[in-house]
Amino acid sequence: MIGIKRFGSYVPLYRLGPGTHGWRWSTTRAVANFDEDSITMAVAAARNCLIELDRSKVDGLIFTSTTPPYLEKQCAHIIAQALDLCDDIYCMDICNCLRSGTIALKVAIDTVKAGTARQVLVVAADKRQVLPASSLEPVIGDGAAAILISDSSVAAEVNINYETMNYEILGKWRTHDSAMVSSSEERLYRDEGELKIMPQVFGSLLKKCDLSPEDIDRIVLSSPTQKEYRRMMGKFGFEKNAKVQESLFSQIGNTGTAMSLMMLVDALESSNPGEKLVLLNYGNGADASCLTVTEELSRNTINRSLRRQLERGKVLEEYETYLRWRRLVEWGGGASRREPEAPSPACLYREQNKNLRLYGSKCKQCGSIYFPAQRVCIECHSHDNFEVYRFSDKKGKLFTYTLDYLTPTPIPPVSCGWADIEGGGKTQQIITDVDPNAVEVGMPVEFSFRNVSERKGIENYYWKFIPYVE
Amino acid sequence: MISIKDRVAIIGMGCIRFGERWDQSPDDMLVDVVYEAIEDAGIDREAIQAAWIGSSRMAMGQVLGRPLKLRIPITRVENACAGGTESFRGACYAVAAGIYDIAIAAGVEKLKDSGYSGLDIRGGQPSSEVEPALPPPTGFAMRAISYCHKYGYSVEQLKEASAKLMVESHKNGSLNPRAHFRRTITEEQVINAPMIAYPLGVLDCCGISDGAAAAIIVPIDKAKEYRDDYVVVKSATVNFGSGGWTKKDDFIHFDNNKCAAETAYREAGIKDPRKEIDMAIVHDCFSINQLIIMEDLGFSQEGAAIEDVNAGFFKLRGGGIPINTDGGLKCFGHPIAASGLRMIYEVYKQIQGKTEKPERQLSNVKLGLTHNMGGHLPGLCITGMTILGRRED
Repeated sequence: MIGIKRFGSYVPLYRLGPGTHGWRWSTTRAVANFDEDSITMAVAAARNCLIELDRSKVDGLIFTSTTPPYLEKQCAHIIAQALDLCDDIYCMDICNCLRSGTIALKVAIDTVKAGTARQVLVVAADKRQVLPASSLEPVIGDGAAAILISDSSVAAEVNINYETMNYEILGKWRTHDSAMVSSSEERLYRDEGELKIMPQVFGSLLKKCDLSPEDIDRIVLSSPTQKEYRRMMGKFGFEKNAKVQESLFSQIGNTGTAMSLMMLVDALESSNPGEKLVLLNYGNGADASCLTVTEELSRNTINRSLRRQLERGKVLEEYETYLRWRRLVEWGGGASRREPEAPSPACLYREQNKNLRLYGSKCKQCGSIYFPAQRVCIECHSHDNFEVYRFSDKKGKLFTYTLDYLTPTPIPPVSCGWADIEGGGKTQQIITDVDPNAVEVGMPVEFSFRNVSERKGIENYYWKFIPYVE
Repeated sequence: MISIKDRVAIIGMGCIRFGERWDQSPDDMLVDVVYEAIEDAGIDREAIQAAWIGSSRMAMGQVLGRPLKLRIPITRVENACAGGTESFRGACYAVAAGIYDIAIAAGVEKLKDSGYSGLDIRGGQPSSEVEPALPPPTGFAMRAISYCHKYGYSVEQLKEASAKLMVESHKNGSLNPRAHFRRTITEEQVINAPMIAYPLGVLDCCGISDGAAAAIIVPIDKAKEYRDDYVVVKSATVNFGSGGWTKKDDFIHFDNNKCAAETAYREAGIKDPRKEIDMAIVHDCFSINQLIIMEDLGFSQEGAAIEDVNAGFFKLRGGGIPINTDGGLKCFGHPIAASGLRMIYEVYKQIQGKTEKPERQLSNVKLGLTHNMGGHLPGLCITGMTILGRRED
């Protein structure tokens, strides 16, 4: 049996919504912080997916996005490093199509069926950019999802039939000289695109799987105009809004490539063994696949369910915060300062285990734990006598902090602090996704993978603290 | 190891007016302070046999050799903010070793040439740039939070005590024509100053300045040939921390300070610093550091520095140990490699009874201490300390 073994999602903490001063819409959307991008969100979703799993057993990783930070430089292996996966796994980026999430699922399923890998992680993430005040602004959002495809302990079996149809119609597009998504008229791609071909692939799938609409417990449908469900359901042979997974549009917006897999995660987090789900996705064509939930699902620990992340959302007070985060409005630091240096490629290479895997050391002689790793133990002076120690999945407690009003940042001050890490070790990191007024001694923290800077086109990744909340 | 106590003496010093010296290059400042020191020592410039020059940004002995035309051994030293003391120590040890009969130690820094406000943290060694490039106030601000938490003080109580220290430093600085900042301030101004790194406000932080200073060192048995009121070096030491943060680290006190104090007191034969030290010029880069240093040096019990501050123990008059009688880093600013020597200059003049303004003159200074410190991360800091004394024979 091949299918979904584990799953996880990531919804950024912050929202733009009716409570935001300067937000002209009635909808709410999830918005990534200035230090997040599709790579960091993919890592966050994958960490939720891989909790308590032996990471050395993941032997493939596919990253999908329409907003990869690099156009030339693979993103998947950066994610693999941050997740501390093995070096000899195959890594792939599938970018540029909003439907890539389900395309990647098919690739992963086929890979596991062929036996060339046994546990393939599919991560989908998008940090979407549209012009302020444009008609797309109220409906897009940022987010990520991760699905682990395996041939063991399968929680949702994926039927091998994958129905797809290619279709040439301009819906959304973007070329490399623009950061903003362009769109044609919604009525065109909705009526001539979605409403025509999605029922077609759905019908073909049912036929191939020898099922009728009554056999389907839930449709997990992702398309640019999900509000038109009612019309769609009629075309699929259902009554009105029967059996459709709730759209997340109104709470987080359309998260692009991640949308379909986030909805799938949401569906799995509330489904029961025996349920049959149909996954329908649209974007430069459509595809459909069928899943059956197994008993194994109830044995899955759900870490940070999507609904829990929805509950935790914090509405930004000011629209200008978003404008500064995205550099839609240029901002400057306070006092005049020297431009910071670009990172040295030699140093990035040499420090990758520290910076990306967050490896420290544990002295074999006295047991002292350090970040960063120490070749000479600070306590007992034992030399080159340590084992590698991963910090990224450990929690901590702040024992001191400050709010820095000097360092240039979109919304000062910068919060930073030292924490005692569970199990041993102390480290200092910037604290993000936090209200500076809420930082205090004793605050529980965990590590979060973030984009700390872009200089000379080099995206620099490292870990920060975020407040730890169940 | 043998001690440097009573082996060498200072016979002349120079110290420029610290501040925004737009009109002076590093060369200009060194010419001024070196000739001031030569004149003070009453020697011929050709008599200088070796030189040490502290500079955090300019390399090579030519920093001193070019402006002064010194065809002698010149060593450029760097030890961050303790660079001035490092320079002094180099000259002292060379003379104590009996190799040279006259050596000069100088320090110079032109921070205001950067064109930036605030400390210009120039890249040295290239890095991956992932570590948060947090400015110096943040490390000390975090020690302030730890201090309040460990000893049960509120941030308000800490800020009140810190304000008293800063007000006193400014009072002293207002009596010092060589200081950068010479106006007095009030406690309210310090407490309500704009926040820099919580809980430190802008008046808890020393300024960015240009400066230079120099000292001329001779063996003790030759000192009286030059002047009667030579100043004796009782100790000159530089101590590094443990190399990282250990389990014992409370993220408040500095192990490098404690090591330096232990070394210096042992060298100078001091058993009870709170009683025996007559004055101290310490590294008040931030108000919290001045408090911590009082405890690290053993002037105050751990956790009790605030009580001593509130009791006036560190004031110029009527206290136990006057601290930063010249205005400190607070009023001089902190030209990195010059500060250590500026501190020594104040102790030198106080021991001789020759401070520029008699209102600042202490009576009967037998032992003075300078403390100079670089870095802020636990275990990764360096302290330079000297103990200077009055001639006793």
